[in-house]
Amino acid sequence: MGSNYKMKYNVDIVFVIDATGSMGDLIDIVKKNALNLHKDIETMMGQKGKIIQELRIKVITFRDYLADGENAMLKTDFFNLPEDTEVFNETINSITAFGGGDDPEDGLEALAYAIRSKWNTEGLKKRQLIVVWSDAPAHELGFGKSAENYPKKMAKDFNELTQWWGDKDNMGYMDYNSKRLILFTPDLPWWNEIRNSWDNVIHYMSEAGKGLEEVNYKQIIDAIAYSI
Amino acid sequence: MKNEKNEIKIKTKGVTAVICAEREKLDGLGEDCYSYSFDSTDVGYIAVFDGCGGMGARKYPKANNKTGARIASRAAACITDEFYGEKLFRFDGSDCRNLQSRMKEAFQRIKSAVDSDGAAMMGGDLFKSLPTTAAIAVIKNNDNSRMVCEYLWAGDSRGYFLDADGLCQVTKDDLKTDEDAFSNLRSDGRMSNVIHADGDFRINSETLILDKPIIIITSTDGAFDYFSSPMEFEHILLSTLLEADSAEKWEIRLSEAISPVTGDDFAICAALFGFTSYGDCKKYYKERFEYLTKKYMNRITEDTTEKELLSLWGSYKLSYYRR
Repeated sequence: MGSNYKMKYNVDIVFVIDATGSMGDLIDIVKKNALNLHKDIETMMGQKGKIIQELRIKVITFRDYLADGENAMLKTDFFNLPEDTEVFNETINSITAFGGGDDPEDGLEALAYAIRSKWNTEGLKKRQLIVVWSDAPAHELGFGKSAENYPKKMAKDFNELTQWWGDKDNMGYMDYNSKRLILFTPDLPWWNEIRNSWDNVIHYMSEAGKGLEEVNYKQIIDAIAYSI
Repeated sequence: MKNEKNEIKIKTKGVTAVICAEREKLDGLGEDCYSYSFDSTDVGYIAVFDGCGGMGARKYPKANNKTGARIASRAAACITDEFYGEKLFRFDGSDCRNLQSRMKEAFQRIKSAVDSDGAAMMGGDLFKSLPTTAAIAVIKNNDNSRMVCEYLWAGDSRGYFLDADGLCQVTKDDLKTDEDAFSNLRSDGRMSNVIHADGDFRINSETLILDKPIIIITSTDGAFDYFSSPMEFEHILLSTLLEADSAEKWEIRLSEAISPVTGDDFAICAALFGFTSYGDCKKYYKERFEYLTKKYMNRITEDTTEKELLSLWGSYKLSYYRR
């Protein structure tokens, strides 16, 4: 059995994308590479001797509940790749950078949605990844709750969101050994608080307000592959 | 650091041979390495180090763009070799603390030397500067029938011994969750402790008195982490040992056998003690190999279910953890 045994991974990834005005360049990178994403991740994993049995990707875009109304939070279901590549590509290509209001955005609400995704719990080996891209700090949870479309069942504060993420004694909504949170965000609230207090986090710190201009596609793929 | 075979002189009486199998998945980019030495004293060591690719993915322009993981494993090997060369292994319970202090100091110096302005800022518990695991076995071999073996480790690289009763894992992986060698093949438990340059870490130790003949083994996870069960790792050690007709050929066979299975770099060192020759060593392990094959390996096929594997592991682990 030994030589025929290969690690087969079920991988779920949620892309959490700040889609406000300054994020156009980063969104363009994701758009340009959406069609190849499955192949590129599979190739990187293959180099590590790991086989992807099932890859699912979900997309959440966020802006600001108070400033952007119904465009503040858009979520998809998981796409199965490569089967759903075409519709995934269409979805990614429909994202447009606009809006945002003040400097901070509602990134924590988007992260909360990501954490509560319907993760694949099947398979011997699995990874549950959340990748966040934002060039802005995050509002405190509930900042936008006076907006009509603010979600009813949102974590009420950062402590509750921390419980949703979980730790080794309290599972939260994700599997402790499988979950990873990759942040491409500035060293600003609440991203820095997450970096300092949550397990299973890697934070690539970027300059605020610059649309993550220093981030390139290879860095994104490397970050994902190293986390699986 | 990698000790070239022809530079090593094994003078210690009672050491039959030392083998070191390794592979770099991508040439020049490997993150695992080994080092060993047996000088004319009674004390020698074998060691492996695994730079942690995920945590240590940052590249350092001042170090020819090498990753933190690659720099770290090689630095740890050099520091261990210096520590041995200065005859600082004392077997009095202080070796882990002293080696730990030495590593901590050296790693901070290396970090200062390779850090540069403008490098990408990274943080979070999945990131460390210069992270590496270590598994070191220091052997005091001053008795004809027995020897003292001190295992020192950090992270999930492992130290074992292999005798007539089979493979025994001595080290305990530093993991955040409670996993055994079987469950960890499935859950990929997160490491709770590695050598690094950002602050505190711990070097664990365990000292055993062992009867000869015996083989002492240190291994990075690339060699044992890609099987469906720990039994298969022992099987590959023994089957390649028996197929070869010299220690040098065992080294080659072992490397050839692990390479297609693993997706990772690996480094594995084995020191053979108390055998009169390689042929004597083969004779000694033949019975164990037959037992392992009959009791476990013949029952592990493509169709073996998880439940059946778990049941076999339940029986195997009694001897695997017999220390």
